Amino acid sequence: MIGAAIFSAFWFGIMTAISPCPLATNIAAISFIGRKAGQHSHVLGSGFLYALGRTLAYVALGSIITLGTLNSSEISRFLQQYMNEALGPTMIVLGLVLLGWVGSGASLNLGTVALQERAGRGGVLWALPIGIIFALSFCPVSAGLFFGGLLPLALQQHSWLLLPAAYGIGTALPVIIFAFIMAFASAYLSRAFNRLARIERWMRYLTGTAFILAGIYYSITHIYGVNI
Amino acid sequence: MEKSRKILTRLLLAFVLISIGFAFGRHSVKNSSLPVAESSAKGSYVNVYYMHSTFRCETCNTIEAMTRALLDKDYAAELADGRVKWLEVDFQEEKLLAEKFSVVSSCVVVALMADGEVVDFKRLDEVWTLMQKADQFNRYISDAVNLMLRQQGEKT
Repeated sequence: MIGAAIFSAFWFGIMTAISPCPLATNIAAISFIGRKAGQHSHVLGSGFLYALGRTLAYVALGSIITLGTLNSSEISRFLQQYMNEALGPTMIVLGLVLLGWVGSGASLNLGTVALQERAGRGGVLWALPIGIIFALSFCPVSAGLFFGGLLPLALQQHSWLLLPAAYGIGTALPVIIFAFIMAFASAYLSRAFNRLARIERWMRYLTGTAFILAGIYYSITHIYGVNI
Repeated sequence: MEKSRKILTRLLLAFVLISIGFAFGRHSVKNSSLPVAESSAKGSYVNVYYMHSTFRCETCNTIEAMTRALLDKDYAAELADGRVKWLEVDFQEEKLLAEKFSVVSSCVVVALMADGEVVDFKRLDEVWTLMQKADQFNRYISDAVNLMLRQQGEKT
């Protein structure tokens, strides 16, 4: 019985990931995980930490709600309203940091030199908080399936750990698979044409640009209320 | 190149700051003028709400269209004589109604009404997991509407 429930939770996660509504964050995540095309350990590590971040967020949220600490509907409406509004500006700033355009500038002291250096090196640990932030930025589909589908199932099965974890892995898996395919295919092509360094530089630009475009999209749709 | 990079960075950061300010401003206006949630119609009837967030997604629109199509097909007479009413509500705007129904995301709510007050309701969250199975989806909605119509019949 618990096996069927775990599969359902995992399937809810897959359904969330492949629905159109989190597409912008998924594209940003794919480019982020796969951007160091030539470093397999980096791509694998980023993918693992991104999935871990999503899983931790859902397990923590599921635990807080199933233990009765917070009201499920209130926290769902709060996250849908405020996380999505915060996500747009956050992603634009993250995109600028990933491009190395802010972080150490004298004009805007948003971070330290170390921050920019870490961004430039593409610190693998960044995937963890990105996974957490993206998981908590609920769109209608993820909120419906997590709060309306998964949590009642978790309560029924008394499983506040396994089911939210299966859901988290389900939401991350399609993203990770696409990121791996993109990274390893581009690494193969760049080695074949002896252009690895150039490909990695372009991947970094692509990632920063994806974050900025996704951030603009989220700002327009969730802050300014324009449905695109 | 360096100059255009700096201009673009400043434009994007300005957009970030304006967006943050706009979000704060919007919430302060909204919080001071909460809209009235319920209708003032007299008598007993059944409200079928499609509750959605301000941001409309493709899947949400499909759920709304499936529900509306079912009502048009199977409850045309009830819609015409006012025993069933269809309402589309933004739950991020109508916060009182969202609290009353404990809404977690876009969903369908079937409510028995008496003189504009909610007497009983069923929140249908499983629309998300049933939407791929049209027969089960329609039965799920119909069961809730029929239950409320039976209660409405007992009241009148």
